[in-house]
Amino acid sequence: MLALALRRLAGSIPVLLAVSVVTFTLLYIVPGDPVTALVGDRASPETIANLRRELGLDLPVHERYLAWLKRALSGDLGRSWVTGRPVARSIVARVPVTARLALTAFLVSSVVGLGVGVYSASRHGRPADHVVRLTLLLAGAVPVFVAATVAMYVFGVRLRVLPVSGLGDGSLRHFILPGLVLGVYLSIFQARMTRSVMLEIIRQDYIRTARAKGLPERVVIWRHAFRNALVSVITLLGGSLSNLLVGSVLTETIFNLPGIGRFTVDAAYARDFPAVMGCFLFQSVVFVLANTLVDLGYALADPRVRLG
Amino acid sequence: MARAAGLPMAVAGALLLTLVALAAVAGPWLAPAHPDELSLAESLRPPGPGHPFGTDYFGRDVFSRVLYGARVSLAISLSAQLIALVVGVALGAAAGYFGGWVDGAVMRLVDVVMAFPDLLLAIGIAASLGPGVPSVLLALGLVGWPGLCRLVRGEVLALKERDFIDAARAIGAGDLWILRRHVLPNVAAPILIATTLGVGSRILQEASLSFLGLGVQPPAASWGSMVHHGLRWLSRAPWLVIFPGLAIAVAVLGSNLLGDGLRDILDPRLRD
Repeated sequence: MLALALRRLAGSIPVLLAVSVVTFTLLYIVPGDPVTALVGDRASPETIANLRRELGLDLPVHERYLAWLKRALSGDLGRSWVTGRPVARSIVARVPVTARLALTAFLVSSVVGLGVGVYSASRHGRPADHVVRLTLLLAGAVPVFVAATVAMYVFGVRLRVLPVSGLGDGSLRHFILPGLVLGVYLSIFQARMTRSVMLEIIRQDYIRTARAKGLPERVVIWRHAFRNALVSVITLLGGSLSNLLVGSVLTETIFNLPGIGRFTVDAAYARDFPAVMGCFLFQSVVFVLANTLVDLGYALADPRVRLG
Repeated sequence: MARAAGLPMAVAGALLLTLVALAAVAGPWLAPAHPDELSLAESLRPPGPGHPFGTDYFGRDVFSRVLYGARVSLAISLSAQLIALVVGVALGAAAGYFGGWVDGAVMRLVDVVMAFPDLLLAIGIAASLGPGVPSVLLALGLVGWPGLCRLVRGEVLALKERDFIDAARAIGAGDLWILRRHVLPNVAAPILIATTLGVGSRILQEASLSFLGLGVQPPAASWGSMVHHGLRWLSRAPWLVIFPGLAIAVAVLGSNLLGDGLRDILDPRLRD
């Protein structure tokens, strides 16, 4: 089992390297000169030359890449061009905010998404199933930032029951609305996937056997069908991860939460390249590693993969 | 039963998309005002007889802006999906048909692009090339092709073992001929479905990028950037967010319905 884990982790190394190359390329394809972009074209040639040396722009590309990669691996992502602070430290400071938002959303979507999916599948073809499918179809077309804005208007501006924006004192209250919005957004995908996985399982012979021997439907659905659906549902988490990361970028921006997503967007807006590259690298690495973990979880949950 | 549900879905989707396309094409004739016409005296008017969707801070007519926004959003999403379609189908067909190192190289490339959450990649590109229509097109084309590529590769892999491909080769047909005349027509249905659904994703992604301020730049307005600018006036003028938001939802719903409906009609294997 440990060997399997190590093999999977080793397998993600080429992808991680490729990710680092793409991240590095982002800065390299900037039209014009990043230094002039930074100090303006009125700076003296001396200043420009100095800064160029400081940023290592006078070296050939592959040397710059290797130097950058080496520093990145030791946790040095450079300094922000805007604030002058180390990018790595800024990212670490923002992790807890994003983690709390993501965790809240994940919990909400696990309950709502799986619950709705199983319920809808157990009522297959009946009115309740049609209502759920129609709702999912309509909800799936609403962008998360529009849903977030409407939620903000209703609960924050009209009803005034929840804080609208910002972190405030950092209490959980400030995560309720963003967490719920993002959670419900994720639920749409999870419910849809869970439903189709469950429908496939419900058709199997052993479910018919379970029903035939007179088990209550609740036991058939939850103990027999759902437990087998869980294996496939774990892989679906992989699909939700991308939605979670992308959704949190948008949600943090709207609710003004100082997380990594918000940091990324601000950095992109200011064209603060060290910060953009740092955020980009950090989130992509988290994404790749999380996907590897999901793969591993799938392998562990399914004896055919684990032992085969 | 699923076939029965597919047709109404496809028709409903096609109707919604026609509505959006009509807004995009006939916008200038339907719009009561020019989308950039300022009128500070009419700042932040709620929806009413003169302005069905209200006015924004500068007194611009929101209905006219939503109509013009259809043009921007639709043009960008369709072009981006076209890029994704061409690249995805070409690389996917090549990978599936030729196999070997071509397949290996293409699939590694797919792995790398898919190693990034889509919007993040788009944000990175917008940051490095600078926000604007060209970088949005590039970003959305780039995140769009790997899905199609995988799909086409899989279909082609299955097809190329079939007898009629062997027969074509036996009578002396070349690779390109076989790909164009025998392979691709047989993959047309799944490509059509994936492309229709892809347009919906592109509309959402363009809206998200523009919403973040990294897509279409003022004075041009897409639905996403309208929501972005409307957010400031949320407590006083929620219609600035609601109507462009609704427009996005209608367009995305249209492509999702049409795509899902087409799948039910065309591809019996994928029905539930």
